[in-house]
Amino acid sequence: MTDTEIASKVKEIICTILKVSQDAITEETAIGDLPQWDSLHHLQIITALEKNFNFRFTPDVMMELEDVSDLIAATTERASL
Amino acid sequence: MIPVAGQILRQADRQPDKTALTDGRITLTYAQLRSAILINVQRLKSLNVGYGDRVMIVADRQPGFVPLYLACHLSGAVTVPLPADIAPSRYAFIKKKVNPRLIIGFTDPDISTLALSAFASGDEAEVKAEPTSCDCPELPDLSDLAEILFTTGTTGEPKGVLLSQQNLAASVRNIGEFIGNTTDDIELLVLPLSHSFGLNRLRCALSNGQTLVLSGGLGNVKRLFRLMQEFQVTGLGLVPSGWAMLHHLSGDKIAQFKDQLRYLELGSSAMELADKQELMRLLPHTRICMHYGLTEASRSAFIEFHTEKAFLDTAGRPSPHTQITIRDEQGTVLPCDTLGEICVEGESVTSGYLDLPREGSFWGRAFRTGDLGRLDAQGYLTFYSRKKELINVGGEKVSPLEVEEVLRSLDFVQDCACVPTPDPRGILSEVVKAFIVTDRPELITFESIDPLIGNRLEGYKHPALYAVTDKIPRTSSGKIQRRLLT
Repeated sequence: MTDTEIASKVKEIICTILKVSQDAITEETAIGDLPQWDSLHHLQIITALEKNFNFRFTPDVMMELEDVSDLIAATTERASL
Repeated sequence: MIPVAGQILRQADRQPDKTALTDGRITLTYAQLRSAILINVQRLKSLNVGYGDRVMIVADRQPGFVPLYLACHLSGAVTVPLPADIAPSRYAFIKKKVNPRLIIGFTDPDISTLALSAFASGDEAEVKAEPTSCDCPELPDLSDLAEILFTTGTTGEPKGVLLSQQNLAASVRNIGEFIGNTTDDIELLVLPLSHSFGLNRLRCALSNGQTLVLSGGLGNVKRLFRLMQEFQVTGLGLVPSGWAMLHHLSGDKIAQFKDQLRYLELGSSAMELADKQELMRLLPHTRICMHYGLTEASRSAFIEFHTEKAFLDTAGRPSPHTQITIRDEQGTVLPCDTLGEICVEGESVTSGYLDLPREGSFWGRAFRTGDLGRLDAQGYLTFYSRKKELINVGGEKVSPLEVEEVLRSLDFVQDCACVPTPDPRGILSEVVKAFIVTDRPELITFESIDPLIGNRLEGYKHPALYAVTDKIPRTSSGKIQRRLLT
């Protein structure tokens, strides 16, 4: 999977879980910016990314996640390990 | 005792330049908050919203919500705060029930609504541009209805809890007395504002002249800890699953604030003893207060973990100015150490439900919680179980009937039943598990069913686990025997 494909899949997972269209988010959209992006849905996103890309986020990584671009970067880094 | 909105206006007289609200981007002093409230009172008046009119309002955790919400109360209007992600069917039901004069923050195909941005948010330019010398309206009476909060009824239909100005003011007084907040406290608000817990934290902090920091929620832990550091936050409120989530996402990071956090309020669902002890270890100097309560009887009991550590397996003692009795099926008060229904009495307790008789919900003035428990000789309350068939998903109450109705509408579901089950991730206290009778067992997976439920149910109501079964056990009268399903 290329970095572009990973980014696209991460965004698709986020939008599917938040039940919003792809236009509703950009890479700058921060966690919590959309009312739907509450802690419950955030946990579902984390779990879905871990399951889909077969890795586990550690607390020190999760603490640094602030927006969509952080989620893409963290996933890309771990998915390619 | 005066209405909460009046208490907040008084704080603006006492300390006009103190920060009342901030989200890290927009900051309002108490004087600006007062100006924005008074401008919004005038705007509501120009929209013909007056005494007793109901206003459905999106409960958004942003500074703009606060002056509008308080202006509604000051105008004598009745607020109906609702979450932004409310399911369309629930929204439609509530709209029909409350017959609102005004809807704010929702798009509605049937009537015109207004955006939150149509009201003064406290933006500095705006409040300076508009006259602020408009007379402060007369405060509403304590007996006036202030708010209708919708909870999950056992039948699956939402029930509107009626809360008067007195109920809200009494709650603020009771909570403040137990927690012991000071005007110097700075509180971080991460709780949803469509529920009693979050709204009470907002009202407590502002009526006490504190600074309130609004955060986007617990998912964005980086922003949360940055706000805690930047504003030197001294207190916050969390549901137990919120703490589990924060712990999961950030490990022991909260311990870095052990000398800064003066208080933590927990509530809305039970918490494992081990989790309580872990919090005490991480926050040895913090006043960790946990409440037992319902929307109908806010903060009925309180316990503080460090000073009452011998009683951590209880829900604590009745809150200040609140009486708890344990009663039998006839409403007779039972002696100590006897199991019965927990009933609550006090000025913070609701007068009843919208369009429903009091009968069945009260014994005299005592509200029947539907929960089973007992009081010991020292006044400590032990909660045993919920008589009502509700599933507690991280503090959100879910009626299994509502979920079953949606599942039964799927053509491959012949019969079904939903039960609570412990969250396999250990974060939410319970999640919904659905047992399905079907001749298409290959379709009974989370991945295939969840998209079909879509937005017909709010996210927390979606079953997290599915199982196929041959038959749903029922009593001779047809009632589902949920306890036989595990």
